[in-house]
Amino acid sequence: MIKLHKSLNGKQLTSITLLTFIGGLGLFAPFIMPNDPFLVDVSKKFLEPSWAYPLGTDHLGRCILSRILLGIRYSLGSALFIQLVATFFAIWIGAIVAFKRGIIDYFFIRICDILLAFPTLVLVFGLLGILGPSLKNLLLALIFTQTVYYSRVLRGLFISVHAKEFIKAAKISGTSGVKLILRHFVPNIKAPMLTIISLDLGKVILEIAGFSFIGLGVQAPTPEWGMMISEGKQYIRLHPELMLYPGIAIIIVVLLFNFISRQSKQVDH
Amino acid sequence: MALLEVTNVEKYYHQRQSFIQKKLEIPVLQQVTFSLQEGECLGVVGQSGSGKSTLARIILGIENPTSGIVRFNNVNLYQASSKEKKGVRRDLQAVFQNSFNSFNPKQTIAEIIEEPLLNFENFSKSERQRKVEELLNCVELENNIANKYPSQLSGGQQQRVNIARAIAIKPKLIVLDEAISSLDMILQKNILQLLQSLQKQLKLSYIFISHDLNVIRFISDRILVMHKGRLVEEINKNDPFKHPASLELYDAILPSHPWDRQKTC
Amino acid sequence: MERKILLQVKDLNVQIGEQEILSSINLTANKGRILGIIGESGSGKSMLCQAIMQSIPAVAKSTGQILFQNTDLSSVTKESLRDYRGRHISMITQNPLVAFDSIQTIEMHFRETLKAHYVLTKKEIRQIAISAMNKVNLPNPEKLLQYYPFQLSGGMLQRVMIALSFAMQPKLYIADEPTTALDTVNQKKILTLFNQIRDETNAAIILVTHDLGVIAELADEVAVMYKGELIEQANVFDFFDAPQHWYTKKLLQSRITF
Repeated sequence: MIKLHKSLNGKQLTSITLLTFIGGLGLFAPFIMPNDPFLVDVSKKFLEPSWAYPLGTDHLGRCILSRILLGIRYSLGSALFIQLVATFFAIWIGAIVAFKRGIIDYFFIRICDILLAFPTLVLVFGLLGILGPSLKNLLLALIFTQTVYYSRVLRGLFISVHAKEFIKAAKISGTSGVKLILRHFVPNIKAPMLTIISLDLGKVILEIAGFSFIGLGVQAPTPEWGMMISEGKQYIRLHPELMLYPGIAIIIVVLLFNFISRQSKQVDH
Repeated sequence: MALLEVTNVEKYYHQRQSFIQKKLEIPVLQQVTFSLQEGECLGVVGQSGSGKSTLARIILGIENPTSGIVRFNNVNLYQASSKEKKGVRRDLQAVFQNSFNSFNPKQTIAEIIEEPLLNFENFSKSERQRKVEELLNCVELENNIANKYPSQLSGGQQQRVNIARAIAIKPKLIVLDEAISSLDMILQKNILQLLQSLQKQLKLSYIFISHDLNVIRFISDRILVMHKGRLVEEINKNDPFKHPASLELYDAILPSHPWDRQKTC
Repeated sequence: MERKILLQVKDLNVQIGEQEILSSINLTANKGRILGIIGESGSGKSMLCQAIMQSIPAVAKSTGQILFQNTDLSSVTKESLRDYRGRHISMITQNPLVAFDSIQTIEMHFRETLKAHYVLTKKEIRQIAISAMNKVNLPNPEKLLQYYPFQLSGGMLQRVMIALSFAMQPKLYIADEPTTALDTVNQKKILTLFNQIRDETNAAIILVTHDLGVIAELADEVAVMYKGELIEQANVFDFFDAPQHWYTKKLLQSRITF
């Protein structure tokens, strides 16, 4: 179904492979991590990297590598979840608005404009203020902001494809309704949408990390990377590795996502 | 009884200058009435802006007229039930000018041509494939074109594919809107001859729209002249033109030999 | 009638990589005469226009001479070339909307073009612009000057482009399919205009087209392009009455006569 492989270059392919690998690590984390990421043993705090603890231990004696591995689920996994759910809602909203046009469209755009005028930070702050800080609520808030943005984008894509002559030609050939959407809209919207979604994955990961860093997302002791950086900030002078390792993890993943989407030139055969 | 009856069709576009101001009514078509008999080729000629393309869309049933009636095969197009509409759709096809844009760039030629077949017939995959090959041959294209994409074809080939798609389900009427205007001369004549032979073979009727009176006179049995949204003249192919708009179009026909140059003194 | 050679193309070859786009082109444009170049899409006719104007794409390589009044354009300095282009040689393209800057009014276009080659005041430029537009039968030139290109129809915009060229009083016009994008009535107006310009200014005009009708209507001499080669050249009457090459004969057969 996803015929992407024809149009990808080496850089993209490597990035996707690496990300899939990382995703796999996160998926199987409980089986491959060397230690229990939650096990607190103050006598083992700030250990140097060793075979037992490949990246050493943090201020509570917990294995940093195990925490980073499990953290993949919270960062990468949450981001993927957010994007998928947001896209799902956005497709319906965007399609309805794009095809009904008229008053619904008019109000939709105005509301989107208002919401999008706020920086994501402010919107999420507001929502978390109402709902209370937790991972679940952070996910909800981010799903909301992403949905608003994507439904606007999808509306635009639907409208631009709808205006094309081949839609007119397809209608004359007798295609309508769902068939029209599947045969003509989806293939022409797929590529730009995938580009945006993959680019934003990096952004969303940063947002999750950022909000967790300031304590509005994941709560301790969950091993989310932003949270880990936050916990490590008190020890920055003597043990910067507590911040460095999760920080590097974030950088790597976000960079890889950037590599994929920036190179994404749509090859229209 | 006529295959197509257009009665008092009018189309106005509404334009709002701003939220506060009143809507402006811009007339695109006014009081257009004519009919088409089965087997005819009706030419519709006029300058750009005369409303021909809007008329084409209204006849095809893809744009509502502001007022007026379009009856195809005795079905009132804009008040038909969905079953009736499906029947009409089967018999009423189109070929447009900009051939490349009328293709979904993600589809192969075979997929493009078989789309009407998928919508209206219950062929098996192999039957469809055979039918596509048959249609490609009808429009003088090689079978190996079937797996290519529109961007790999020349303008002339694309237009032939357009025609193949239009005749796929054996319609009664095909509306051709400036179908050959963007082609080179030799191609234009080839496609016109193809259209003529298909008309005889498949017992088609055509509405052929163009701004080129020469082409219209070549292919049409009867000619309608449009000027600024109105139908100003309706004649048989060999009759002389009388209306000034028609005469302007007639004068604009380029000579076929330098001897026929008009001397402007 | 004395023929004065204005432009001579000698042995022009244009290659992109291994592919020859133009091979051994030899032709002449004379003052007060219209040379019609006819060919299908892909015959190389647009590349020929670009080669004469010295504006072929960077990847293309050309050899041969383009002699404009005995000066080889391919070997003059960039500054001199600027002088030739626009002032002595004017190019009119197929799609006028693309040739114009969409955020400048017509008057600004005239100002930019004229100021590049002459020293004139704003008032003088206005006068020249209005006079040029009157010459090409554009209605209400004073009002038109304030319009933006997108506000004009294709036909009118094409005439404005010709007026712009005309205001410079070039010696040579190169018109690359100037009427292909227009309907027949507008086409007739533009072709009549070229006739007029040729008669009144004695300029040489090279008119590139794929339409035999345009040739029959306007051309004094005809050259036929086929796959990058100039396969036949003749005066227009010989061309129609006694074609030599098989392709020319095929072209003539494709006329829709009735």
